[in-house]
Amino acid sequence: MNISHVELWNWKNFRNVNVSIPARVFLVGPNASGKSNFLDALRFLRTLAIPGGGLQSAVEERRGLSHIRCLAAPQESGVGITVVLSDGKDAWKYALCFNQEAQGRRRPVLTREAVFKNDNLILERPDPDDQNDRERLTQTALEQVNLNARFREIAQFFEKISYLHLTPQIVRNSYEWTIPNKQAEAYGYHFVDRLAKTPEKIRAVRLRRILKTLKEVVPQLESMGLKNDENGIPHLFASYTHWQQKLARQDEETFSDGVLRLIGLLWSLQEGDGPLLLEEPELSLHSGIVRRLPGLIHRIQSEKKRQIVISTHSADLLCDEGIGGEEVLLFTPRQDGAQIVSAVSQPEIRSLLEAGVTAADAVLPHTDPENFRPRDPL
Amino acid sequence: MTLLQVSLIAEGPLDEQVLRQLLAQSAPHLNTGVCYGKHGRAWMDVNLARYNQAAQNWPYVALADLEQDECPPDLLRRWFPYGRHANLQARIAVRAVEAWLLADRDALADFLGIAANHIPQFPDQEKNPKLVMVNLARRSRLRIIREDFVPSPGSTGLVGRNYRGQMERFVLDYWQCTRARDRSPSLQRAILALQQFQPLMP
Repeated sequence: MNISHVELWNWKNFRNVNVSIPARVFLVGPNASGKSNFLDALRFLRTLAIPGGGLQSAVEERRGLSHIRCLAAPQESGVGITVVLSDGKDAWKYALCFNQEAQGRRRPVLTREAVFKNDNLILERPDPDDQNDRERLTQTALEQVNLNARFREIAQFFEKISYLHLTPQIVRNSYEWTIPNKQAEAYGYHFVDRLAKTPEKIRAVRLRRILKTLKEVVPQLESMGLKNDENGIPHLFASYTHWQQKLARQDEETFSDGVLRLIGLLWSLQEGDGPLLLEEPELSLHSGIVRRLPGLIHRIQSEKKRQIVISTHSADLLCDEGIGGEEVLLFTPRQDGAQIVSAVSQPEIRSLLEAGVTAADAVLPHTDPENFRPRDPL
Repeated sequence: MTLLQVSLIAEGPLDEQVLRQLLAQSAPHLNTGVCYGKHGRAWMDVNLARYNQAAQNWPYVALADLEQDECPPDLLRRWFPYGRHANLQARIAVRAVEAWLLADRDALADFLGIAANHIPQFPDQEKNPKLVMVNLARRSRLRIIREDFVPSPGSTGLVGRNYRGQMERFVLDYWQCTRARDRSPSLQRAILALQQFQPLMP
């Protein structure tokens, strides 16, 4: 199953956007144009669906409704998200609008929740039960097993959405820091633990694949694996052939940022089969390896049939000639809320792509802050 | 009057600023959009033909430095062996865009803090206008100009560490193409061409 459409109302940077999303998609735009907030809207759906999640915690994690509502939206207005999902057989649509209680505890309450399967409405709230018991509006049907029976596929799909923005310092020092946020895993918190908890056979296959790619980046790398220290804490190690012919060992604390981020990226690509949201995968990596990422991502993606959404500023990533304009979404900040358009929908960009200009050369100039600089001729 | 939207193609960030300023000052019928390229001359040599092809759907103005090439017509023939589309204006600064800046003599003298008579009379005839600019900055009364324009002794840098930032500031706040055109024939030709540029949209 893939997310094929997303519509957002009053969601952070966006007043109203409505976009189609292909199986592999690159989000490009200037800084603060809403790329991460767009990914966050999809992560919000995951929090709705995971055990211990739900509407209340998804809103609370984002510090309340007032931090989600678009600054350009009128005060007191609600926010909304609609996604269309399809698996080639059935098309699902999930719509959620919510606001906060007008008085009292100001908890988030849903103002509409609707589910369609192949255009047939199978759930619509508020329903008469909700009218009788307003307390029910603090929870979505999606998060409740006794209410979501007819569309559990959606809840299970949202649960599989994963996000990666690996921060090397967090991977290295997971045991020294306590990070209360449920989302911390996405930043690499207890990343090595996650590897250790993976069944050994699967782990071995994944690590072998990672090693193969890593060797092309770090030729002196010999092997890698997991090993527990004297306290039973697992560590990633790598052995390098040293110039003195001795084998030198390193663990994740001494890995370079680039190596750690690449391991995290390659692991995440192989882990799970739900949509994977990657935040600037190019960070810390040499341009030579960044240029190979689109192909690598495609290879693993086509085996796992999973959707991959990538935010990026990298010309090296986007210069791959295999990237089609339909795979690039262009984010543009505006006074009345950020806009998102498909690169091919812009006649100027389209004609460049058709003339053989790469996505990097045709699209990235549109994200240049130079375009937004006010100018007065002398 | 509705403005015609044109996109730019520039050799580098300084060329972009010059081109934007040039269009704003001399071709008010054109509205400048995004700027492509900015990856140096080699990129222009490879990619301009593709922009020329796309020009049937969108108008472009390109600016590059002649550098050590023979002469502008030869360079244009190399870029567009099958002819240039009328919607693409390609302008070439002889030998570099710095020559166009040197041509606004009094403003540059004021900006650099030097006497105007040190600035060459005919900047298009200079072999390396960028080097001329750096050497002029060496004479500056202003410490900040010397620090930003001049590479430190022993450095392999061609220019100082904030050359680009300072040159952009000059272009945005000082440079007037109407004063500069008298001393630079390549700028003069560019202004005339841009004033008459009437792209035809499909």
